[in-house]
Amino acid sequence: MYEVIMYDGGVYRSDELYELIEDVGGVVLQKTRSAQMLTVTMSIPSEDRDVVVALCKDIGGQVKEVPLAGTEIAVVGPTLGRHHMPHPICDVAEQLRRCGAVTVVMGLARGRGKNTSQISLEETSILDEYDACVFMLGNFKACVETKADLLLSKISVPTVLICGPEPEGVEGTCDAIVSGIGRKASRMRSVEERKKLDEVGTRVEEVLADKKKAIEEDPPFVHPSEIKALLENYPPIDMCLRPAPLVMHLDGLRAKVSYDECHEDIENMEVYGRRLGDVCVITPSKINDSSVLIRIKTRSQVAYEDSLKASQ
Amino acid sequence: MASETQVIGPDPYGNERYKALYEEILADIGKLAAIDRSLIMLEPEIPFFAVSVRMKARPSAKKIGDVASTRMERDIVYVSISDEMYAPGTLTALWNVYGRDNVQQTDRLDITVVGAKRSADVDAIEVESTSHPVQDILGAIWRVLPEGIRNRRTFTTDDVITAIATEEIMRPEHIEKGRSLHESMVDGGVLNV
Repeated sequence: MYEVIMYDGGVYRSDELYELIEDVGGVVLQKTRSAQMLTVTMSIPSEDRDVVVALCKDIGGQVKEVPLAGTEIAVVGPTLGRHHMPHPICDVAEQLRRCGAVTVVMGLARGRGKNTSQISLEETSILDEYDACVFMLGNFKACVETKADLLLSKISVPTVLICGPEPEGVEGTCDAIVSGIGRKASRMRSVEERKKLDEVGTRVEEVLADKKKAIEEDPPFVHPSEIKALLENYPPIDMCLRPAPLVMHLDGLRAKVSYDECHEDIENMEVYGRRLGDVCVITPSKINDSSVLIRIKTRSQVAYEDSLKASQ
Repeated sequence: MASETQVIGPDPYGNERYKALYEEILADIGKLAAIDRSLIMLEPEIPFFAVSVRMKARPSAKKIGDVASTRMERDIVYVSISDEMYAPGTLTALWNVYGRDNVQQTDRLDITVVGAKRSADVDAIEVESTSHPVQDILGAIWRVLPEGIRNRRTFTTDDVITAIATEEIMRPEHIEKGRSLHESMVDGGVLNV
């Protein structure tokens, strides 16, 4: 069983940490360096946790729990206009990042208004690429109820609705509702507001726990971190200057390289003696050609395909 | 005297949050202190929104003498700006009158002007017109109103500004309601809608 933890400290002696992670069979999920400060999100075997934690403390860092590590979450507002940005959308995104998720902030093209707001098929298919989706709506109950039904009911991934008043009759459209955070023009700094942000983190964690449980019933053929370790040495990804060239999902990962240029190389890589293209569904992202989505097939799916091949 | 904000509408949560939002945005642009009374009408079911603002005083034009101190020494006028907010406007106004070659910004808040006959001539140059504060307040009202509520009308009378907004068709009854709100604010803030 693997556990995900985050090291938060300096770069001093960080090479020892990387060596230990490799020695215990773990993997670095994400590392972010800012001047002399470093955060490393890592997945390590549970039995080696104590050793890794002891080294982290020994080199002067802290160890934090990151319940949302290995997930990519979209935080969506009605638009990217100044009415909705940066507060409170960015406060929520920051909270989710503190819990370990990689977040993407998005605005709909025509999400504003009450009777005229809409979500396009392209937008729903982009949102379906993420592990979960957090929707931010406003302060009026009537508007929230109208828009929740309109916008959220078309999305397939787990959704969390954040809004001001407690809406009624929208329970079927989303997986969780956090009320008490409506439209505002300043940072969420007060004690009550920080509590609300903690509640958002907890609710997203609960929603993803349900998804993880569903995935565990028929797990992926390989763990996404194993494919991440495989792809890390692939030159276009190794040389990619984007902040997180590989982003893990619960059932796969996103590689931020061109699909047209790289999909054949990726498909032909080998994992457990099989072509990656045979155990994963590799598709271009709906956003544009600059990223590739790798969805790992489940064990039963791979076994079924094997049996079909054997019978031919 | 502090500014008074009254919110009318069927959604108590929305009323409370919009009052806070309105005051935050006006404080952000530095105009809350200039406002005597505000009346906000929120009807999200229609949707119809109205904001009426009565300022403490009729806005007047700002001149360089109001925002800076000036002195003349050896044919050069030294302008020392006291309110940084007006620094770009002061520089632009001086450039327009005396030309770029004769106006030098020596420091963030200090400007020298060559070619002025008296410092009083520089003092009399207008930095901000009377319409500027009204534009600022209208900009803040647009920022307060929901983004999708884009069909808007404005009424202005001396020191009262009223903005009404709806999502699709602005019906005659909406305009009548807005005008009635505006007139009640002009008459002293007794609501008659």
